[in-house]
Amino acid sequence: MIRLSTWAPSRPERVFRIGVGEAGLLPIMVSLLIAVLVIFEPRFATVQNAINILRNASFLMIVAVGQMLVMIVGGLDMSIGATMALTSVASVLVMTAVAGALPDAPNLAILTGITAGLGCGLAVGVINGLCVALMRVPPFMVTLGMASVVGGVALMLTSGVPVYGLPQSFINEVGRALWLGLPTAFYVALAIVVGLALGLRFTRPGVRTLAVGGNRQAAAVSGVPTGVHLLGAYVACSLLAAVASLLLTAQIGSGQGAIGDQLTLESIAAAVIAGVSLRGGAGRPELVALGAIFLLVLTNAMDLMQVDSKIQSIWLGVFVVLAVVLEALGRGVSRRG
Amino acid sequence: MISTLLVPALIVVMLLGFSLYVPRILFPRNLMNLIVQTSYLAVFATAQTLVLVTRGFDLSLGASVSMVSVIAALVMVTVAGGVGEPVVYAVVLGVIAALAAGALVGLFNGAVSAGFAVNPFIITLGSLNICYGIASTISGGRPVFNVPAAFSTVFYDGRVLDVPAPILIAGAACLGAHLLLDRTVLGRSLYLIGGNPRAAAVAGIPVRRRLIFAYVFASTLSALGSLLLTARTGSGEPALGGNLLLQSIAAAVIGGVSLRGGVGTVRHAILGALFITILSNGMNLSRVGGYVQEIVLGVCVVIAVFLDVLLSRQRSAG
Amino acid sequence: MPAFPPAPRAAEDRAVIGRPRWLGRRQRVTAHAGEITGIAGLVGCGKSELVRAIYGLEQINRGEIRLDGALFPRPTPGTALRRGMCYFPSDRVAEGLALDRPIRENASMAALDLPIFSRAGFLRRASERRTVQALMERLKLRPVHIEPPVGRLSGGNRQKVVLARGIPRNTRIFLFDEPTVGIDVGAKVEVYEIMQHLLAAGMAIVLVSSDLAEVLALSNRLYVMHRARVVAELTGADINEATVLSHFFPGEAPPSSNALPRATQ
Repeated sequence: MIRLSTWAPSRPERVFRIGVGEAGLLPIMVSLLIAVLVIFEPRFATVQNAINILRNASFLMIVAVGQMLVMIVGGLDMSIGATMALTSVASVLVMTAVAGALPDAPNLAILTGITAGLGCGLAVGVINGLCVALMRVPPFMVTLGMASVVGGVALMLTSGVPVYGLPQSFINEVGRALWLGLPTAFYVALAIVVGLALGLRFTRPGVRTLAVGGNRQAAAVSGVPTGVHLLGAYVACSLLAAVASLLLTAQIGSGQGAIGDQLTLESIAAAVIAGVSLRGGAGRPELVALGAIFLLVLTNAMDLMQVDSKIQSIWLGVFVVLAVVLEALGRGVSRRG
Repeated sequence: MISTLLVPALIVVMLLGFSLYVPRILFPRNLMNLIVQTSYLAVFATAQTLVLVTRGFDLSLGASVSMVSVIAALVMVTVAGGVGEPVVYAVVLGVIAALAAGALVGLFNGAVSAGFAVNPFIITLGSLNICYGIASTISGGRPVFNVPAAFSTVFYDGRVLDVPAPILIAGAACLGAHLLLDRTVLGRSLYLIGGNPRAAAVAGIPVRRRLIFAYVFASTLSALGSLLLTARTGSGEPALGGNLLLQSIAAAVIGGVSLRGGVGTVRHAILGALFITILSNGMNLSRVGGYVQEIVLGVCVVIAVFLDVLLSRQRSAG
Repeated sequence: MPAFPPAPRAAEDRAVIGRPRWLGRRQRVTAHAGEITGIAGLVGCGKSELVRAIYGLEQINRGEIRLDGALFPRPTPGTALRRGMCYFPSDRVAEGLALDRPIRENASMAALDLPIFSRAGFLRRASERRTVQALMERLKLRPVHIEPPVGRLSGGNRQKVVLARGIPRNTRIFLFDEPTVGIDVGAKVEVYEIMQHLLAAGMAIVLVSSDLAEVLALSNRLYVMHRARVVAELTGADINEATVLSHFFPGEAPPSSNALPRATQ
C-alpha cells in the first residue's frame, strides 16, 4: 500500500493502542502476573515449580512457533495435536521393536525411533502443505480432516492404550535430565525460538515467508516461489510438533495416543496472544515464546488455586477470544454497518 | 449437472455396495433406522450450512450440543423433582432453557465475530472450549439422569401417523431453514454476504445484523438437535457432541455446500447427512472398528474439500 | 418500471474528512439535479474518499451532508439508498459484485426491500425475474441472460449490472466512482449514454474520475481536490485543461500541455 500524499484517508483511527512499543502489552502482562503470583502464592516461587513451568512451557513454545509459521502464511494448523499423537506412538513402537531385535544397541533403537517420529511429522506436514499450496484448499478444513485421519491412525496403532517399552536411556537422557538445573526440552525450545527469530528476520527464506503471508500475489509477482514457502511452513510446523512430541514422550516415558489434544488450541492461543495476526504476514517467535510462558504461568496459577481443569478450559476459551478481539481493536478495525 | 447428480448417485452406489456385504442394510427396519439417524445429522448439517453460506464457521457445534443437553436435563430434573408440578412444566421449561442456551451461544459467536470483524474460526473455537467447560463443570463429568420420561416419550418415541417424532421435528426444522434461505430476503442476503461481504455492505445490506442472526439461528437449530438426541438417550450427556462437529461439516461439504461461502442449500445438507449416515451405518454393520471409522470420516472430509475447490474453480471459470 | 420524477432536486454536502489539521477552510461541494458534478484530482487526493464518506463508507470527522436542504446526519449505505442516493464503487470486483451469484441477484441486491422484489420479507421471484430482465434489456446487456453468475461477464457488462442497482429505487443522486476504468470503448460510450438519460430525467450525478479528458468533457460543474481539500470550483468556460491542471499543482508550474497526450488540439 503506497501512499502518495501525506495525510491518511479517513479510516477511523480508533486505535486502541495496546502496548508500549512494538512488543505490545505481553511482556508487561507476564511480568505483572508473575509478580502477583510471587506475592500471593508462596508455592509458586519455588525452584521446582519454576522448572515445571519452564518444562511444560517448552513443549508449548515449540508447538506454538510452529503454529505461528503457519499463521504467518495465512493458515491455521488444526492437526498439531494429532501429529503429536502419531509421532509419539510411532516412535515408541519403532524404538521398542528395534530395541527388542537388537538389545545391545539401544542408541540405534533410539535413533530409528526418533527418525520414525520425525518422519511422521514430515509426512503430515507435506500432505497439509501440498493440499494448501497446490490445491488451494482452505487450510483449516484440510488440517481438520487430517487431524481426524492421523488421530485415528494413532489410536488404531495403540488401541487406545499407552505403549510402553521405551529404552531407559532415552527417558533418562532426553526426557528427565537436567542440564545446569534446566530440563532438556527447555534448551531445545530455546534453540528453536532463537533460530527462528534470527531466521525469519535475517535469512532469505525467512523474509520471503513473511512476504508470502503479507501479500501472496505481491510476493509471487516479485519472484518469490510462494508454493515452496507455503509448503515449507506447514512442513516446519508439523516437524516442530513432532519434535515437541518426542520430548514429551521422553518425559512421560510411554507412547500416548492422546498426547497433545489441548495443545492445538493452546498453540493458537499462545500465538494470538503474542500478536500474530490471523491474516498473516507478521509473527515474532520470541513473543510467541513469551505467550506460551504466559499461558503456562496462568495454568499453573489455576492449578495451584485448585481450579478444576474443566473450568480452565473455559478460561482458555475466554482468553483466546479476548486476545483476538483486542488484536482486532488494536488494528483499528471498526467499520460501520 | 454432474455435481447435482454425484452425491445421490454415490449414495445409491454405497447402499448397493454395502448390501452385497451386509444385506441387512436394506431391511425395512434398518432403513427406518437410517432415516431417523439421518434426521439428527440433517439438523446439525443444516445449522452448519446456515453459517457456511455466509463464509463463516461454527466450530462450537459439538460442544454446544453437549452443553445444551446438560442444561436441559438439569432444568427438567430440577423442576420435576423439586417443585412437584406436573411434568409438563418441567419438559417445557427444559426445552425453553435449551433453545435459549443455544441462542445465547449463537449470539456470542455472531456478535463477537461480526462486531469486531474477527475470523469466526477463532471465536467459535473459543466458544467450543467455553461450552465444553461449562458442560463438564455443571454436569460434574457424569450424565444427568432422571430426566422425566415424558420428554423422551414426546421427542423420541412419539409417533404421528406412524412417523417417528424425530423425523417430524427435524423435518420441520429443516423445512423452516430451507424456506428462510430460499424464499426470504434475509436468506438471500446471507448468500450475498457469503458471496462478497463488502459488496453486500455497499449495497446497503446490514451485514452485521444478518450475520448475528445466522449464527443465532444456527445455534438454536443445533440446540433443537441436541434436544432430540437427549431424548434418545434419556439423560443429559456431557459428551453428546462428540464427533458432531466434523460430521456436520463433512455432511454439509459433501452434500455440496461450499466452504467459500455463497453457495449451498438445505437440500445439500440433507443429502450430505444421508451420505454420512449410510456410510456410518454400513461400516457399523460391517463391524468396522471405531478408529478406522474416524479415519474414513477424515478422508471423506479431505476429499469433499478437494471437490469443493475444483467445483468452485469450475464455477468461476466456466 | 418506476417512473423518474421530473422535479429538480439539489444536494449539498459540506464534508471535511481527514486529519483535524485541515480545519479552517470551509469546503463545500454542491450537486444539482440535471447536472454532472465532477470531482477531479490526482490519485490520492481524497476524491473517492469524499464521495464514499457521503455514502457512509468512510467516517466523517467534521461537516454535514444535506439532501434537498434536509440534514443527513449519520450516513450509512442502507440509509443513503433509502434517501435516494446510490454509490457505484470504483472496484467492482471487490466492492460491487458477488461474482458467484447470478446476475439477477446482483442487480436486485440494493433494493430487496422494494415491493417489486419482496413482500413481507418473502422474495417475489417471478416479479424479480421480470423486473431485472427488463432492466438489463434497457441497459443493453448483451446477451440478456440474467441467471449466469455475474463473474462470467466482461468489465463493461459487469458495470451495467452495478449501475442497474440504482434504477429500481427512486434514486435521485448517483455517485459514480471511476466508472469507466477497465471498460472497453464501446461500453464506455454506453455508460455515458446512461448518464445522459439520467440527467434528462432530472437526476443529479456526481462523477469522480482520474480520467481528465472524461471529467472535462462531462462536467457541468467541476471541483478540483488537492490533498484532501477542495481547491477550486469551476463552471462554464473555466472547465478546461489548463485551469484544472493549474489547480492540480497549486503554487507550482504545471507540466506543459505538450506532456499530455491529446487526440485533438
